Amino acid sequence: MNPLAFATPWALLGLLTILAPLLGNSMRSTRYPWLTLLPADPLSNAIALAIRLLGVLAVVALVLGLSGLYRKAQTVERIGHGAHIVVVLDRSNSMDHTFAGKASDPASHGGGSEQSKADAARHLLTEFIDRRPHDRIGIASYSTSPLFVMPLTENREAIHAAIDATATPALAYTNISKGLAMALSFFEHQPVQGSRIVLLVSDGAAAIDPDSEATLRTQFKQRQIRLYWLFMRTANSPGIFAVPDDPRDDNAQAMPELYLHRFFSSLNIPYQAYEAETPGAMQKAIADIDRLEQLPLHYQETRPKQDLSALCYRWALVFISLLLAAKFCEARLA
Amino acid sequence: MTASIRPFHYRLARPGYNVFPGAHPGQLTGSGQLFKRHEPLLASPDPRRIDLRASVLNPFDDYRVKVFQQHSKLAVYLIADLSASMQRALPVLCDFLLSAAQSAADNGDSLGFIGCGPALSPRWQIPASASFSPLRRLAQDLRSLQTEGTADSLVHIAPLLPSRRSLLFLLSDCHFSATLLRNILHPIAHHAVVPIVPWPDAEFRRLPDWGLVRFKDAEDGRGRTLWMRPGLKRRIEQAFDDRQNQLRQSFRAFGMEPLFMTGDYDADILNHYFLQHAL
Repeated sequence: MNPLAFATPWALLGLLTILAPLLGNSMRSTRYPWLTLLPADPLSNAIALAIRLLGVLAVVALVLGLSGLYRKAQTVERIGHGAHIVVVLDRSNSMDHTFAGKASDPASHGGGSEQSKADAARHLLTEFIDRRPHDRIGIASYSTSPLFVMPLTENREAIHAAIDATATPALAYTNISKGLAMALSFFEHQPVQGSRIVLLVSDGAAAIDPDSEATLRTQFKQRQIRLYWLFMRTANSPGIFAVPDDPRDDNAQAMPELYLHRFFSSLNIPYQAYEAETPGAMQKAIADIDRLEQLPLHYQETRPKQDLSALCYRWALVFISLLLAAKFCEARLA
Repeated sequence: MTASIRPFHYRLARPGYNVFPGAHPGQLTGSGQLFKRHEPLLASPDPRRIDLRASVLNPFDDYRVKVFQQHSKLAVYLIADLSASMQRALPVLCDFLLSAAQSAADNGDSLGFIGCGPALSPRWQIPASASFSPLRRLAQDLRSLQTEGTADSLVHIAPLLPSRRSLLFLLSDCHFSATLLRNILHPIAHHAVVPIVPWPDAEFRRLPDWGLVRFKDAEDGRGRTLWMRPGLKRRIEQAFDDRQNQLRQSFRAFGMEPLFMTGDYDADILNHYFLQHAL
């Protein structure tokens, strides 16, 4: 594929004028009786050739500049370290609460120790993304039903905007299976390279019905996905690893977190769960992921269209100045 | 043209043959100052020249007559190269033409002119005559001439010249191959030839020391760009010196001694030349 193109291709007709420096000569010539008598001089020949060449180059550079040479937008294949990450954000009501279980104060929004879990997650995710320049990141969120936020992309600005967009107040319940299904669908028709990560950020869990359980099981396997679960535990709520005191409570409805953890562990995929009770613990979990997921990754970098006419004019200026210098070097003959 | 153009003195050492009396030693006998031999009265019936003493001493009993060498007229030709390369040398050519015309008139000789461009043209030919005005007009025409082409017709001049030995001034810058030079000289070798080679100083000695110079060959139109510097200038001068030696050898092979003129025309150069060389 030719990466160069012209804004006004008809101006290339001007290239015909390169015949002028090739056939003619810019210097004043003096009649000499017999050139055969003059000794051969390689240096002079080289200079004469260089002057001719400079003339051609100056014309070419000018004409290319006039015809608006530009480089098309193109994708460059690179190899870096990174991963394809889909962040699944819990948008249920409880995410707007603080780690202490209180509803966060809108006045102290975003600052202090009393920030909501959603704020903390947003803050940390932004940092996480900034640290990993080569990752492709997609974002999905879920509450009662899944929300498609942003497909896998390397566009940092879009990702930041998507994360900031989750600052709107959360709503309703937790439907984790649909959120995960949507996250998995992001990997459909994507090349398998680097590592594929689903980063589930939630503060609670819900029971998964058997139908979705089977689908998720196969899809996690098929798409070779690593799962990280960042569980933001509210104070006094049961954690992931809590063992029920009463055997009667040992069911999915009573302890959804434990059962979800068991389900994830039984998937036979690389899986890691982090239980974070404070923003600091959460930061540690994210740093952990950052450290672990550094597989080599092919990725395509898109370069925007680049106007080369200024460069052409600059070269033309250089060539013409050199020609002018040669002109000033001309000696006057008696 | 100007008053400063002076004639020069030329002479031939070997006697020439011309029925018309003139100023140069001739092979004919007749009225003259230089005693040559005795002849019988019947062979040269001039009773005024009877040598009584020789007649008395003569055992064959006939009258002896003194015979004198008659000085004869000489045909002088100026053969000029009118190729494009001679443009700068035209003033020298004109001055020399006028000077030679004056000298020929002083000696009572006839002067002819043959100008040789790419082809012989009657416009640039004047048969040998003693009249001065056609030559003067020709010199005026030559001054404004734009020379062009080669001097190939130089090889065809032999039929235009007298068969008797004459004095030829061959004025050419000799910017052609050695083969052509040989082809030119061979048919005219029996004449007394004075090759005059005008090489204007500006063409090799007065080139600039530094700078870019573009030369265009006057004859074939090729161009060459030179980055002049003292080293190259020396090499150019050296090339001209080598060429001068090479030309001198070529001319000497035909018994001619070339005369190189790097400056303006000066009659003294020719005076000096004729004092040095006997033709």
